[in-house]
Amino acid sequence: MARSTKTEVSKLLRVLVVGGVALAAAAGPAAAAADDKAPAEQGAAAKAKDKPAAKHKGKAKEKAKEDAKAGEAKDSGAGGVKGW
Amino acid sequence: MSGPGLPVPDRVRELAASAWVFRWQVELEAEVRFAGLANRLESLGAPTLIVELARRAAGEEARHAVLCARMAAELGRPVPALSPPPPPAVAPSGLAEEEAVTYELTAACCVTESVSVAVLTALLPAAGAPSLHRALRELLADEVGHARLGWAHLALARERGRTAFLGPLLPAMLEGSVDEDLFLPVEPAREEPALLPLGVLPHALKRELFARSLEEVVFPGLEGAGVDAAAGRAWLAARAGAAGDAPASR
Repeated sequence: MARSTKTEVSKLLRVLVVGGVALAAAAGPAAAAADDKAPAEQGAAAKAKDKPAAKHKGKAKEKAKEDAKAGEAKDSGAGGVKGW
Repeated sequence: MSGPGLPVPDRVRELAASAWVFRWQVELEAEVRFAGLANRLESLGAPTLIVELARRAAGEEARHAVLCARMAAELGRPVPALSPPPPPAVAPSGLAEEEAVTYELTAACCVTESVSVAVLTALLPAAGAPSLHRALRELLADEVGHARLGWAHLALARERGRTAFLGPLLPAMLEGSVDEDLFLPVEPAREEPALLPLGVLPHALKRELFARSLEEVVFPGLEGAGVDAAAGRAWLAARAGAAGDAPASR
């Protein structure tokens, strides 16, 4: 690959990913408002923070859930989006 | 092999026309996908800015389809009269709606649109005709915004601790984003440099650009958003290894 093309690709991390994160920051207040719609969930999250054992158990549960999802993905039509 | 100033072989022109017809289809599918995602994001209470970006992207993809159809016609192959059917859902059926939307935005924007930006960036300097150059510039400007939409959504999902589930799903997502023959040898005409001025990457360059985009943009971006990209990296190593490609140097 031409050196200039290599350089262009390496610049895209900043242009796309960092640009996207900046967009997310600009959208921040609206995101907070959306979170405000679920105070019960926030309370539950705060409680979990106060209990390390519960937090650990939650993480293990989350991991098991992810593993199960990976297995399911194979049979559930998980796919990608074709482009250029 | 053809060279600068030489007539473009018929087979190369056919291949380029076929690529633009395929892109027309991809852009129409993207229009439908973004319109649907905008509605789903709104239902989930996503920030207005994100919803609006998705809605705007749908309109831009419709315009891209017109551009691609024009390029295909200029190369002698008009697009079909009928639009393609709506694109299939790509998220695994077992995911909750919020995760399904994150999966779809990651696949469509963080992976596919990011790679498209890399492809367009590589194509732009080689564009032959002024009309092609203008079309590529217009497409590139919009696709940057579409990729950022995905990365923005992922950053917001990370704040909510809702991105880690993507890690094990990356191989299926990546597998579905590539043509079946991307890592296979192809007919010599598909490696012709004469494709470049017609707005199409020769096959090996396309494969290399795809791999480099994953390694330098997509995987680091995902990891920054709290997604373990190890499974995705392993998928790429296996596919590139089977094709006999050395991993891209860093």
